[in-house]
Amino acid sequence: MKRFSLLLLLFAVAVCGCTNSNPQGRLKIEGEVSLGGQPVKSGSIEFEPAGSQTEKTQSGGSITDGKYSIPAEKGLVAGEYRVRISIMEEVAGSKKEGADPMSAGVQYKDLVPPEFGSSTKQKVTVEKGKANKFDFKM
Amino acid sequence: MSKNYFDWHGICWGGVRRAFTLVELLVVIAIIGVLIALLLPAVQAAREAAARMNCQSNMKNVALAFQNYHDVHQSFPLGCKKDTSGTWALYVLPFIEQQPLYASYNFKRAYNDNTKDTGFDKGNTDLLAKLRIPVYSCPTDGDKQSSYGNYMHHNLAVCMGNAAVYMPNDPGTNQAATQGRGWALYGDITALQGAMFWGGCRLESGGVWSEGYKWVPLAEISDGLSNTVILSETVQGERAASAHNQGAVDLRGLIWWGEGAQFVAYRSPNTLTPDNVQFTKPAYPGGGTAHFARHPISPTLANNITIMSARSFHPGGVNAALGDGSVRFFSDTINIDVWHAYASAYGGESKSL
Repeated sequence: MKRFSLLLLLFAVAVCGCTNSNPQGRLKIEGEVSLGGQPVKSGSIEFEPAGSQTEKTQSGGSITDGKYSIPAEKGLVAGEYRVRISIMEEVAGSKKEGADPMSAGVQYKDLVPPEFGSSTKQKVTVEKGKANKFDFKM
Repeated sequence: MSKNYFDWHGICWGGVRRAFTLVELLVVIAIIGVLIALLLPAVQAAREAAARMNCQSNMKNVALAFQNYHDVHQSFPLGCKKDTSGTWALYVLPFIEQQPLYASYNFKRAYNDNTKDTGFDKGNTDLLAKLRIPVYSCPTDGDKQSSYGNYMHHNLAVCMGNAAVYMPNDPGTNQAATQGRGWALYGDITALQGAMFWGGCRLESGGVWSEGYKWVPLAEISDGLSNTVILSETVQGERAASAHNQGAVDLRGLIWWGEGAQFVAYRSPNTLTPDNVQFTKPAYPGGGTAHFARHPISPTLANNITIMSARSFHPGGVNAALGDGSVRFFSDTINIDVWHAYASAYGGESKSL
């Protein structure tokens, strides 16, 4: 019994010990986003590989109260990235009151200027050993 | 010293009976506590490993059902037919030993049509969508309350390529959908196009659903069956309850609904970028629950661009079934080019893990 519990203990220690959740050396990405001088209340941002880095990572996250932050294990490896932002806002009056969600007819429009969204011209370079903080003012 | 000096209640020295002190008891309890604390993560990990195996086994069964469907019909089932007129989840029912359920579906009606038909073509179409079908579910995600009516959410989704599912509003962009292929999400990423092999749903200008779907025989998967993902996981939508998403529904995993029956590999598995799903309001981590913190959701992008990524509650990745019927685990950290290549059926890429 003693040997058995010792084995279990070893097993537990082993399981706790082998969680290297970031083998690629991804980096934390964060920053602030504003639209017309106001912090973006809610939206999303994503980074797509646009450089010649061999390890291609793609990531993104939500913008809440003007800030976004992507933890390192979900972040990006060093390299060049294209950035897209989207802020979807309900078109006023498009929702039929009390309607079933499937037929409510809610429509959204993207508030982001095209050069930050659908045909983005924003590029950033993620570097190792540096705070990867990217702010966008639209 | 004879054995009689020891008894059940304590240790005797020289015949004086002595109880455990509080400190001794506390020490023992503390040691047991530490041991349990050490053990608990291992137990949890073992439970999750078992659930993941169960999920893999379910997915394997469905992948084999797809193969059997192909044997009979010389094509894989449709991803979806229009948006509410049947999805793969319906077509493979006879191949997962659910022929009676298949027979109960009235093909003239949408999955959420609760009209009670009588006479020759009576059906329980609406009832089918309220049933839990275990083989379409993942035990890690459990059995969630529906976020839309009483309709049951499940965990399997077919791969619709590596771009986006797009329901065009303007006639000028209809052509690619007719071919049932992936849509380039934005004008400047044309390289992602031409990957979707599942027939799609198509909304014509004027609001009429056209049958823009396409049956896919194995021969068309020219990248190779073992290099092409056909099925992966999605999460069961959760009823949204936060300030950010009042009145919204999370329709992920509603596999009887065309869009809910699919995923695209445009973004990494389990990405923190919100899925773009119809009929929802933004449910971002700031205002959402643990479900939305891990699997955020947002309305569709301009022109109804729908992007639902492969998602699961397994730590570190998602299960996915390949065209040859095998199931493997794809890591969240997979090289995005490789993930795109796996989701493409005839893109000509030769990347592998």
